[in-house]
Amino acid sequence: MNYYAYSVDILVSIAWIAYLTAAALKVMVARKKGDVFFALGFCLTLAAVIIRALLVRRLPMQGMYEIFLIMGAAAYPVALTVSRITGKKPGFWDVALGALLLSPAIFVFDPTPRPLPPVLNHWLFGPHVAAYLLGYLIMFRAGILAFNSLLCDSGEALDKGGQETRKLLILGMPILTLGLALGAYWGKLAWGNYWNWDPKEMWAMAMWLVFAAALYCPAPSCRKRTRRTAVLAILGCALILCTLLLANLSKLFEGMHSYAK
Amino acid sequence: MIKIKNLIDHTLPVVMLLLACFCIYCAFIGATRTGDIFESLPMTLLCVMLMVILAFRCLICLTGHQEPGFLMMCLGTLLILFGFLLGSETVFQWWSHRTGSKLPFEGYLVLDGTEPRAALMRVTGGVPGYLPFKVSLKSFEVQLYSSPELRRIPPGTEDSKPPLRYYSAEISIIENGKNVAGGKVRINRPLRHNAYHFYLHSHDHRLNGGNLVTFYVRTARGLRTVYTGLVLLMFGLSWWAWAEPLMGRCVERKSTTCY
Repeated sequence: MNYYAYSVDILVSIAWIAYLTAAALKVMVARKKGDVFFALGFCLTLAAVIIRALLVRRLPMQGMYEIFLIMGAAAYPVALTVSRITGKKPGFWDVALGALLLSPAIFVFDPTPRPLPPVLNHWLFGPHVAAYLLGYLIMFRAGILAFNSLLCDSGEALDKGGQETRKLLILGMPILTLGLALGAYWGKLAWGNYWNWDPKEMWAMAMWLVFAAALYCPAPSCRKRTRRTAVLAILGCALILCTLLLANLSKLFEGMHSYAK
Repeated sequence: MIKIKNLIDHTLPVVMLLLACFCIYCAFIGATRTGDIFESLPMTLLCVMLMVILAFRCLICLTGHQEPGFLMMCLGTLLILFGFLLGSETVFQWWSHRTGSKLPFEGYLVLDGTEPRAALMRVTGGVPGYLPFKVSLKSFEVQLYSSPELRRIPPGTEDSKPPLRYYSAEISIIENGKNVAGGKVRINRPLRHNAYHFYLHSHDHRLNGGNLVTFYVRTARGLRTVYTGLVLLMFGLSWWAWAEPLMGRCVERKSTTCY
């Protein structure tokens, strides 16, 4: 049976190398070759996710190892969606994000499969976690766009970057809200209340509020609005990291979501 | 009206960011203290204030400004806040004080299968109140992960005791000495009777072979309002974010092809 576990490890490692190669090729302006390696990395990660699901006999979404594995696989479809929205082909940042997401699964987190706790044995487990992970990825991509647009010297590039950031925020916000709403419904069924003031819930709410403010913020001029949206999108990304990593790994924030370690 | 709209539109993002900062602070102080803060009177008043602002924004949406997605979002948030207030302990205590009711808001019911009980306990100890009916434990079932389930896990990682897979308890509700309701309470599947929901909280094996099962019991006020609000918020957001731009694009395309 260890054959399954080893094959997942090997596939993820090769996928990571493929992502890194794709990123290097993107920097060297060999875009088409980069796209091929990016697609190859995705196929390998997807295969790893499927084998992992067969190994653990459930959706592989429990624990940080599986979370990063899924996000590494989702990086490619998200990059394609982003490229459709922005009108640009997947670039260095899309591929780098995929490699970055796979890194913790290879080097940091323990891949030992664990049985699902009774509370997670519910149909909402998949949709709730998937909505959040997809939302995180899209918002993270928006944050990267926002950061790049703030670094631009010309006002035109800033405006264009700002518009693209806003489009991605608009795409990701309903998905994040779906994750929040499904979590609230599940929380009521499992724990007795739709909101339990758990540290992870508070981080998630802070993140949601910042992204909502980023979409809603009015400003006297268009450029000021673009800047404010970009700054808030970057702040939201920092809060994604806190919700995903800090709230799960730090002993300071132990709570009802602690089984996600 | 436009002045009020502008004022609200400038105030709401600031309120959102202040709330976000407060949420981060709350993440550091823990769930119990955060719950106490949000159940306090000042937070209840703040909640009412937010509801008034949102109600104004809804009115503005209704009078002239055609923003159906935004209206649904505001209405959804308004309903969530209203449902939260309805289900909060502060409002429950106020209502109990007004009506003279002594029913408990929430608590833990410990059953061992020997006799029906109505007293709810607090985590800190003490009895917050009695349920208007008695509850007895009929049966309790535990399922552990069997060895075939764990066989796929690499050797050396198995615990000596297999982990818990599932557990459920069957209870019956007794009013005036008669069984009036009952059923199985499972993880993720609570049982509802009158205004109360019963959740499996924990269980413990006794030395004599019996089980000690703890249920979390809580009133379910304002729940439908919150759910309706969540659906409206979700639907409004999707409409505003996805449907409106798509429809806008369709209109644009139509105009270019027709004329």
